[in-house]
Amino acid sequence: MKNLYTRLFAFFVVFNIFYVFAEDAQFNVNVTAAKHEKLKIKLIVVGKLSKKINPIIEVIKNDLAFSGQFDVIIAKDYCKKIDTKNDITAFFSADCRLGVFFTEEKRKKTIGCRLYDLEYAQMLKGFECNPEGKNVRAWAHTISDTIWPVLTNEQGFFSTKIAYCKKINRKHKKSYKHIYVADYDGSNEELLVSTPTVNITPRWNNDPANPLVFYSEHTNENVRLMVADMNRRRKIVSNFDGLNILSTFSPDGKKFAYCASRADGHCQIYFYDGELKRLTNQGNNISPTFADEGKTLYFCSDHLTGNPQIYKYDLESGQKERISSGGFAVSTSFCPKKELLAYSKMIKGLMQIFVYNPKTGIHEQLTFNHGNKDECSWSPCGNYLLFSVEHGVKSQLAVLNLLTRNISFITPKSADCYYPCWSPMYAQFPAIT
Amino acid sequence: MWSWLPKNVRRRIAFWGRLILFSSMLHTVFLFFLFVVYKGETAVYTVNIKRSILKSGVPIIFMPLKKVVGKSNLNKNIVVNKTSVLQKQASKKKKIIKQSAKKKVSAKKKAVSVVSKPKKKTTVKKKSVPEKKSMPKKLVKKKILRQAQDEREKPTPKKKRQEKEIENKKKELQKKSDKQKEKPKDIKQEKRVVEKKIAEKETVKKHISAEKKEKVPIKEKNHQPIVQESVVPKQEAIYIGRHELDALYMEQAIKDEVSKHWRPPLGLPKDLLCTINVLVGWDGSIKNVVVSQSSGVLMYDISARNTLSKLELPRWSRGKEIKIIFNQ
Repeated sequence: MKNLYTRLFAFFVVFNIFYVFAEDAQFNVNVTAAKHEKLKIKLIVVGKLSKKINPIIEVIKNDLAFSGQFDVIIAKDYCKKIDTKNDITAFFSADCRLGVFFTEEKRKKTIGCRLYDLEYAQMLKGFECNPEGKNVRAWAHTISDTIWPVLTNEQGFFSTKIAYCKKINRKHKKSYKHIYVADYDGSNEELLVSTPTVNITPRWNNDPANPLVFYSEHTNENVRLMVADMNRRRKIVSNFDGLNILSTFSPDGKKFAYCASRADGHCQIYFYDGELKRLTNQGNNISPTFADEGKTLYFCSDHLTGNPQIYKYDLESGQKERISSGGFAVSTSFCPKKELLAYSKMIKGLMQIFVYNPKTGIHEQLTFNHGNKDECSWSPCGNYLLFSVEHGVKSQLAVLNLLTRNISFITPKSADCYYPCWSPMYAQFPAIT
Repeated sequence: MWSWLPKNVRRRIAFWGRLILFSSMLHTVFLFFLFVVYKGETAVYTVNIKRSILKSGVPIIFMPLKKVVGKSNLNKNIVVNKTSVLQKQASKKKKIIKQSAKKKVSAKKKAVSVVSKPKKKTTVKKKSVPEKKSMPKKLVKKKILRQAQDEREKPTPKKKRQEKEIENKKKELQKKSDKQKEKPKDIKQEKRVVEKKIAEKETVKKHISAEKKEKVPIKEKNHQPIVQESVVPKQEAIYIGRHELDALYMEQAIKDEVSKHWRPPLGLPKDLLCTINVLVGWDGSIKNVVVSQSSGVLMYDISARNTLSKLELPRWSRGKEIKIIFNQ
């Protein structure tokens, strides 16, 4: 009997070992996504919710939600203190793994911001924001700009601004157009130029240290090119007879081009690189935009067909090349980051937004719905396109998200807004003082 | 049972020893139930395999009771019972290579014999087949062998012709040279004769070289189809054993479950890829989550990890490692 027991025991041991090794298996599964979903992220305030932090959190929430990629939740349960890892993991849920903790340090007068992986209580990014001045929105946007690259691996754009002109109707009087500056999402609108005349086509310069807005002002004699800084100081840039409009800057901010008619009835493109040169001679030539680090210039001209078409001008060789064909193509805007040219083209009586890829030579239509879309402008990240949409008499500003292909209106229907232009990333938040 | 334990051991040690043995016995019984009885609760296997996984056009034979491993072109991603299956596959591959090598050798031999044989004689051989009826088998075999030996020894008719032609030309040249030696002529005539000679020699050389060149492709032409036929393996049926079938079924089930919950955020580059290694715990929960290859975009990796927490994996996947590649 004893031998039997020992044999049985040995058998079981061997059997056990065999099965343990035999069941060692691995599966390789390759999965592709059928659907897409917004990623949830929590904003958590440590300590009491003060008047200082509350507006900041609201702005950050709007910033992250604007992209269409995040579902932002402001945590209702405010934690008093964070001493242990359990205090952080307490906010973890199966569908929300990311959390941003905000702490207000009253002694230092700073706001601490920490991005955490809530499951493992692992800090992904932490920094302190030293709020100077009264512009709370500026702080909030800079916080968003710091978090954004960690989450998406792309540069933030929340500190950028948009400039546009707005029609102001007055009873029994002529209507004016004023130049406004607002945050990228149309909020926080500020009046920049309010002269009692028609001010159109605002354009930002490319000097990161000194943000300026170039615009055209109607006078009794001509339409002159003006410039305004963030302190609302104005200067004349070009005051030739006729039209002086649609200025554009090269990415390094050193080259400059604009359109001027000089009272001969036709608008021509002038290029300034230390010396003013006339680039075109025939027809009407408008809306120049620099590409290839200022080596080429895209513009619209009607000298061949009578209808405006898009041309590429090589600034080194002076050669012209027609890009668009058929229809009515206007208002070019080049994105240096994505290397794409956006423009408006008439399709079945409606102006729609198109994108041209100079590398492949392919034109792609981006918008298809009602309303004339015009005057498109790229965001610095190249993921958004700003343009005006005309519905009957009035015009609204809209942003096309190229990642999600969603169009969202950023100005109310009641407002009559035209000629939008998205600013580049400046060293400081371009706030009007 | 405890007889093999030394008797002079202290009571305490003996007690601990017995306790350890007893507990190990209990463990073995428990593990036996866990791995054998519990695992085999669903004995019925449903076959749900996409044919696209396998090579198209190849017949597939399911042999769940046979432990024959299918060809390596089943699905390279599946790794089941690494030690056993891989070894079997390796041995099979070796066998296939050996067989193909044998085939190659035999084919080469055949090719050589075919090349050496003249075309006419091959036809003669075919004609000799009906003689088999009248003659006994041994004699027929002997005859055939003799014929084959004779054929090998004998040169081919083409070769014969070529050699004869060359010999004739040489003879003609010799005759001409003899005649010229015999008849002395003027210097001009001599010069002409010399030039002619040189020209003739050159032509003969050209002829010979051309013939040699021609010979080589003839051989190649004869060789090529035979060798190719032997090298190209016929499309054999793929035998899928129980292990492969199980693995395919399991992989598909896991894939279905993961793809049900995998929803990455919009607007990210399409070439992103995140690989996560996971161990399924015995309670069904996912443990040891290791991001082996990050996409480089945090939100993508996080959403991939989010899907893991939503998974409800089948029971048989418990205790197993899964490598999941999340694509856009």
